[in-house]
Amino acid sequence: MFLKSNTFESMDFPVTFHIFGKDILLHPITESLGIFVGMRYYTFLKRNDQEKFSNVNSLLILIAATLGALIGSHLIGSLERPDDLMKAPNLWAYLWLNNTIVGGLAGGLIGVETMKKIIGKKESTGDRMVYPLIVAMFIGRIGCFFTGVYEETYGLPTESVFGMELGDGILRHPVALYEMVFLVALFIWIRYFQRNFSYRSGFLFQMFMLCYFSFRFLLDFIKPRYLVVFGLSTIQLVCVFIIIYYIYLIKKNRHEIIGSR
Amino acid sequence: MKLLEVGNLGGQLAGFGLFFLGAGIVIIMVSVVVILILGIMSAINTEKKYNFKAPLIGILVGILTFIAGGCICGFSL
Repeated sequence: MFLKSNTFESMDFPVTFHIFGKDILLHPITESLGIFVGMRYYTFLKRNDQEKFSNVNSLLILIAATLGALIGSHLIGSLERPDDLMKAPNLWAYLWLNNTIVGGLAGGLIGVETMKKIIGKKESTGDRMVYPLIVAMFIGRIGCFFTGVYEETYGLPTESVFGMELGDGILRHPVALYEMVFLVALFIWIRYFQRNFSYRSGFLFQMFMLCYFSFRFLLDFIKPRYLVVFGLSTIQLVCVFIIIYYIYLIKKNRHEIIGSR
Repeated sequence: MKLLEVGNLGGQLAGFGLFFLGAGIVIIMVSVVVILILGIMSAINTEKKYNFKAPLIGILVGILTFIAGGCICGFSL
């Protein structure tokens, strides 16, 4: 087993693994690994955490989150280019072939909130999902970066010092790398906040969502976009809705949220 | 620009991925059937408590297996 591209300077995109005589893309491997590690990290954190819900309720919420994320990621991913969606010869195949983490997070959020309404729970459940989500997304983005321009996670051409050749001979913003750096910074900041401040349950997740969606809203300006309305892409519109929702939520509970330890 | 044919189910690991996709659907269906049976049984016998944890874990594992199948066969060169 070896990496087809051994050095960073002479990297061929997309990066593949040669296993059992077959060339396998790195991206699906990191994508699967990210989900697996994230799930294991979540169950590890849950073991050390005081459980507020019964096991059955926790499972229902986890199922709703996973199912919501699956549907949301494909739905928003497919709506990124509405024209292509309308013209798609096979609608189900098109839905399956397109996905985005923004839709996954938004769908997961809707799934969890709906399930909490159904089972009549008001306690916040998101805090212990924050670190597993960041780790899973970081691992997934490694694969996005190594796929280069062969997947739609590359940036616009740039002459700045950050420009990288991602497989088409043009210096581009390596947006997957930007996002990985952001996720590391977010992880460290949330960890610092958790240790030094007292806060209302659920605030860590709200902060994570607000920061990540704000970052994605800005990041999409340096990515090739299909403008849907108001000069914004579908992903940016979803980001705007989520940002407004969390600003409202944090503002509503601001008196009981933060206090330094 | 989209040079890579993403998720055409025609990659070198397509068979392996499709196996996971199918297995995921089967696990979900079996779990749902078990939940329905447990639901009917608990409705008939209200005094006895039935544990829904195992089939719920089954649904979760099924969804994750389905997603893993998508990841495996979702990208082809």
